[in-house]
Amino acid sequence: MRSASAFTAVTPTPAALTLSLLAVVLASHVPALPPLLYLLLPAALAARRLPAGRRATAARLALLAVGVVFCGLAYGWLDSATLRAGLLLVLALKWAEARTPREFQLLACAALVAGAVGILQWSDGAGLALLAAELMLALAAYESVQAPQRAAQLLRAASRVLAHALPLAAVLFVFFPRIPGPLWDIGLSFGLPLSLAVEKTSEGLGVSTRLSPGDSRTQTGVRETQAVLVAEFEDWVPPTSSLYWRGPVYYDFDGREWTLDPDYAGGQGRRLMARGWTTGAAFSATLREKGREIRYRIRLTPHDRLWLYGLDLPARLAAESLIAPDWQVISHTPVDKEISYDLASWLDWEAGGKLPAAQRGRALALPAAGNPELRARGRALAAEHGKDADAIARAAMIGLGDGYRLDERAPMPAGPDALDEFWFRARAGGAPAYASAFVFLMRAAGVPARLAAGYRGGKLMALTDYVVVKRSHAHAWVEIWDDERGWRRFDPADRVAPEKFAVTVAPRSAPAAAPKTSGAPAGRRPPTGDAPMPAINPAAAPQSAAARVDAWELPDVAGWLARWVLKLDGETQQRLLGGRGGGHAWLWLLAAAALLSALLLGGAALTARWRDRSRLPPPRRAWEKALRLLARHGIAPQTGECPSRFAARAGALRPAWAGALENLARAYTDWRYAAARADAPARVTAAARRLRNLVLAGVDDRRPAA
Amino acid sequence: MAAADARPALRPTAAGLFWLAAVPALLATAINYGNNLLFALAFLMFAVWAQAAWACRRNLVDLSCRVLPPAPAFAGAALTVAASVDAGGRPRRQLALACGARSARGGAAIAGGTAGQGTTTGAAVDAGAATTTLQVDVPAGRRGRQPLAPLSLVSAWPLGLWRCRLPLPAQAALVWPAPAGNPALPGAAPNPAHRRTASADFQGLRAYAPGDPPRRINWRAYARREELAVNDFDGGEGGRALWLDIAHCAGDLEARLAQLAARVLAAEHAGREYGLRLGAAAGVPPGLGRAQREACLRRLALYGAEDAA
Repeated sequence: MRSASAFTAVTPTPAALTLSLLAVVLASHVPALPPLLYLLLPAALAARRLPAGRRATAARLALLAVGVVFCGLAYGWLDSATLRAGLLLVLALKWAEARTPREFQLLACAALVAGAVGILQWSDGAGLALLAAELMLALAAYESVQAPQRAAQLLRAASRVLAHALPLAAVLFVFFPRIPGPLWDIGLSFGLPLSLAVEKTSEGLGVSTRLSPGDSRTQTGVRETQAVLVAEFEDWVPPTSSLYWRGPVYYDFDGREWTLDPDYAGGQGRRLMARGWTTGAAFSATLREKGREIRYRIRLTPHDRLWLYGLDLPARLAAESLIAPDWQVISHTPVDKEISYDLASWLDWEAGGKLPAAQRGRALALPAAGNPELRARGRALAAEHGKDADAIARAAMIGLGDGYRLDERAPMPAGPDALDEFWFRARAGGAPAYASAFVFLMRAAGVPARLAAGYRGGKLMALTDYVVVKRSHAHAWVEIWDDERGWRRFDPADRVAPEKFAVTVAPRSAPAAAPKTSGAPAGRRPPTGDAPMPAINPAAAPQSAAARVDAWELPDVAGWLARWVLKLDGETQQRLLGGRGGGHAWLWLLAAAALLSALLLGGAALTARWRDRSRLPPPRRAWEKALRLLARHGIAPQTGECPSRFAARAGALRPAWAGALENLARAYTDWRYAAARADAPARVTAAARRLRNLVLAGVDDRRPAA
Repeated sequence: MAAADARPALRPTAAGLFWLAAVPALLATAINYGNNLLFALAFLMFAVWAQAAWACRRNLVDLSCRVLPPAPAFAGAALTVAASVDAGGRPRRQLALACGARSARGGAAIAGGTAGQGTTTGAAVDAGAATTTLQVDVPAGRRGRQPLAPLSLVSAWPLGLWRCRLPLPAQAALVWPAPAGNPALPGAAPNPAHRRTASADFQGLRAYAPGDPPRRINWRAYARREELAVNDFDGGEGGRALWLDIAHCAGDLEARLAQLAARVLAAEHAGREYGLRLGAAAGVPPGLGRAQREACLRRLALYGAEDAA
């Protein structure tokens, strides 16, 4: 207690405050600080001891140069470590030479920005604490530049400023659209040429004509964050997890690698025309059921192949494109420059149809040898479920239970039995590995299956209808042939990593499910691949039960903070502002904010008025109270009218009150202007009370006349 | 008098603009990293900036400020301008009286003719109802009636992100010529101002010179002035009141005026009656005392200028 009061009695200088701010900022950078800086930063701060002069400046510059050159050589000149070192050294050295108030102000502001960069290293909780400390210290530094004050006063001033700033900041925080970064994507979705950002490549998952189970999207040497295509949806953006951008479809597997038809691989779109469909209508006619047509416009990065990445399944085509036999939208000629085109797709579909014998043969072909365990497992599934492709696939999905991890960077086992190793022992790999093994298993069980590659999902730019698909969205999934329902999609990734594609966004305004199929459950008919999921989510049930038990415990502040402050993203925001409340939730929020501000301001004004009034001496208060009462009856003193003159005038207007008025005026004048007498205040209050009683009792000689 | 009708002008300071510039930088970082804490920081900083504007303006409205006319000063010395501020019922923080538009930068160049510029260090007017007097010293320019640079009440409270400026009525100050030259009074007055009717009247004090009889030393005056003074009596020829004549000074006009100012001070110091003759311009009849001194200095200050007073 003693020490606390001793601390609050200190008057910290701006230099001390900015130093403590710098200390917090430097501490926030500790996890990523190059080791040399542990030496240089204290030296830089200690340089404040140097006598002012040209030599001191030279010494400081030398220190900065040493730090930057060392980091540049050790980590690379444009590496984040070098930039960080430079920034922190400049801040420390600036502090060392700062003397004027304005220097300290600028330093505090720059330190805040540097601290913000430092916060990125920390978890949300620690970041929040650091941020609060930095902001308070910076405000205190600014405040102390204005006038030296004690620590307690500074603390109070900074808190007051923050408290006043909070409502506006909260409104901005909630309403500012959370466009997911990096900034480059925003430019892309609003029309920056994609080619500026992308190195052209025709390799990699989702593009290449070959695919090996060990492929991961990071192997191709291009950055994962590169955009592949930007789609602008008309009216409505479906949940991103239901977006399958269809690229190459593979049938032929030699045990190590999937290869495409030479027609696809050769880039001869027209040669596929005979086997495919040239109009969307013709293709749609082959589907047994279809629903929810979505329209979108795609801008596609050039990749020197045919893929146009129509969503599953295409409903309408753009010019110079066709629907290939394996349902991809492809171009007549390889895409060698950025193009944009309009497409439409069915989100819900059931294919039906017949599988030609040749295609069935390809979809059942297995390499001559290898992976005996998967073959055995397939035979066991077949023995168990007979020819029921759906049951076999579901059983295989359930088999992918706990213990499997979706991990792009996990090493893929090598050798002829690589898929066995992966499926039964390693149990970790990327989407191509899961898809390959799944197709192998299906074929071993006698179910025709093929492997589809492309992209899944995309990044929804908040509050827009743009979805940016990047290399990191590259994906591979499986389609199996069901004699009753045709090709159906199964995505092992949904089972292995359900959280990765968790449906988080509520559709803003889903169009009414167009031609509804008979017997389909109301509402959204899940894409076939999602069907097994709800039944087999082992983790969900106990969790929700636990949540229900302690639902009425203490309010979960941390959870609230995490949900509404730390993790508020575009999707939450969209749900809040445009979702359930019929799209008018933002109006309610604004109205509530306005009402709250009005209440706060009004309350403050009333309190201030009350305080002003209670500060007046009692006789004055009694006098003004009487005046307010008279004003309600239409009698108010004119400007410059003295009390006695006013009393005379008011008495003439209301003769019944004349005596009391005169009395009050005399008492008030005596108290206010004559020599002080002990009973003067009491006389004023008494006279005022008499007048008020008279007025309130309704003694008014005008009334009978009126 | 009261500055209630003047509207306070609000300007962001350099520190405020820097603060504001940090906001888009933080926003860009926040978007790039998708970090809500940075969003929060950016919006808080913006809100603090916006709120500071309101607080800064509120600090300067609804107060009444009365500027006290500045006392005359010698050229080259400092003019003291004072203003009394009535807080008007709520505490005011960090008010400062500023003279000149760029006062806050300090050491601004003295504009030709006008008096210089300056600002007080910020003074808090904490007491709710009390009246506080603010002062600012500005360098006095050349002699004459000099208009002061625009006076204003400024405050950068809180945080110094904004500066609010309440213009005050324009003021002018009288600047006397700086005394210079030989302060010695003309010895044998060639032109006594007038003759006394009686001899051996007490004339006043003059500085002690070796050889003066010790009995004549005025010890009371010594206690006041810390220099020896002797009582002076006129002789038979009457009083030795002085005419300080511009014609008896050497040099150009300003040098003469400076010399006269020095002699006025010296005569006042010596307790001699003196009058001022300024050639064609109106002089000052002989006299002694503060009123005489100020009348003389005023005449010297305004010499050559239109002088209605």
